[in-house]
Amino acid sequence: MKHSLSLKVISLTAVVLLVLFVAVDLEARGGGGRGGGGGGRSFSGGGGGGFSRQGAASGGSFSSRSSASGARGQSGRAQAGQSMQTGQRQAGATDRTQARQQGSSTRQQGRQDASGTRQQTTTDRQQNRQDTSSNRQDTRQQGATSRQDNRQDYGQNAQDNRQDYYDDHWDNYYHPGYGHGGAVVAGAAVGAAVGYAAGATAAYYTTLPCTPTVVVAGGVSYYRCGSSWYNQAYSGSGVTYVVVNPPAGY
Amino acid sequence: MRYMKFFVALALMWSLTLLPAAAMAAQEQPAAAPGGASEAMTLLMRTADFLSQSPRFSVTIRDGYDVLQESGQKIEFGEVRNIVLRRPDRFRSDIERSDGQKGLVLFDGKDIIVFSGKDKVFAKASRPGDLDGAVTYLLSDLKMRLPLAMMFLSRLPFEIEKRVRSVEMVERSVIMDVPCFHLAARTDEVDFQIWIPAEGEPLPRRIVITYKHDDGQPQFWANFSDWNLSPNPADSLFVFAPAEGVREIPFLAQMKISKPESVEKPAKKKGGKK
Repeated sequence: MKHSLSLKVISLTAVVLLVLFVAVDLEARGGGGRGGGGGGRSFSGGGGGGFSRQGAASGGSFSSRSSASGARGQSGRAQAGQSMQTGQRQAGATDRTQARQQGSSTRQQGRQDASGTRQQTTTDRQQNRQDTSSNRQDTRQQGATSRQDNRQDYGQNAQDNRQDYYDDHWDNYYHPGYGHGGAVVAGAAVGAAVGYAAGATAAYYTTLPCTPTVVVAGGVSYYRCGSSWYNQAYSGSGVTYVVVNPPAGY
Repeated sequence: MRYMKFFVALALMWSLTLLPAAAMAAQEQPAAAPGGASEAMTLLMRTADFLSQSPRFSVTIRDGYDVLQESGQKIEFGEVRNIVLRRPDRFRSDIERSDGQKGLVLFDGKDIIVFSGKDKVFAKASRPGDLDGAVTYLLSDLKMRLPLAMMFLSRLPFEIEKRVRSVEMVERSVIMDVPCFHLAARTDEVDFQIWIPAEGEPLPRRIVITYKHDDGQPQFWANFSDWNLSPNPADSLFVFAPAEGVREIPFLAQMKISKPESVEKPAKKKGGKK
């Protein structure tokens, strides 16, 4: 009797262990399958050399612009805000420091002038206190002027902060690796490139959408894809293609 | 009495069970750190001072970096760069990317030149002055890429002091070509680790930068080898002589940009010739 009971217990235990093993194995295989599926989607989505080489870490700098632009290594259109920041980064650090000092003096003088004007305005209003309607209007104007001053101060402070940020982040290289289909609005030019860019637009690409027709005009190579014309320019770590107007005669 | 024996045996078994765990925990205690935060900062600044005061050096840098793709997949790319630097105003970096593309960044004291072998084009910008000014201009104004640019500057100690918030000693690593102190530093925006030889010249062997605020926290790493503090480069090494067929193109930052225009918009034809 005891022997029969032991056999039953052992058999039951073996069955439980077998079920557990199968369950764990299926779970493992299922996980692997999901992982593989994920990889497949990634490769199909970015295959054919579609992987971006540009990202937050590609610059190898000791700073990061992530807090300003939410940098991420992917294709796509840059935000307008980022474009404006790019433009503001053009000036040299020394120039910016000098400009800040001058700007600060100007703003201080401006605030003093505005304060004096407001005091004078207040005095004038006291003399015309009987005109209730006029008085209310003056009060509203003063409030509006004050708010405008505050907004200007805030805006200027924010701009100063951004400029300080760029001074401290001079080595932060991050330019999205835009493949064709994405564009970015570039900032103001640093110096000038002779013979180039009369009519160049701000859209630039790392690759062209076709095998272009090359036309040399005025010593400059133009690349044509359909109705679009491009010039080559250096940006980041390589050559980019900038949308330009057609060369003369085309 | 029988119960007493049972409890003694149980206690003994329990102790034997916990003994290996206790031994493992003891083994996991970190080895005594060679120094505190102040010593770590001293070591870091010693490296910064040494590099910034070296009148010339050459080094090979093999680096790699993560790029987070739209799919969420992280892909690593890399390159090898051979650097030759001669203060105050000469610099050359020969680059070979992991995809085989070769390039060059050069400063001859007057002009900054970048060259792409694949496209057979180069760009040149005038920037007379010292290397510090040229490197800063290259990145901040011309928007070009030069990994670890900060390490090439004579103001490196100032940059380190300005940015680093804390440094700690991780361990004395013995798996590099020479025993190295492994330091971990934090700035407001990135964390970085650096391996500095425990003895001799404090020329870094490895750097890892983590962009902690960026999606996926990508990393940039660089291994340094073949340090030479007394290279004797000929002046011609810092002269760019484009081969036949190599064309000059502008830096994008130098182009006069007009209003943004959609690429899909057909360009206006100014004439009938095609």
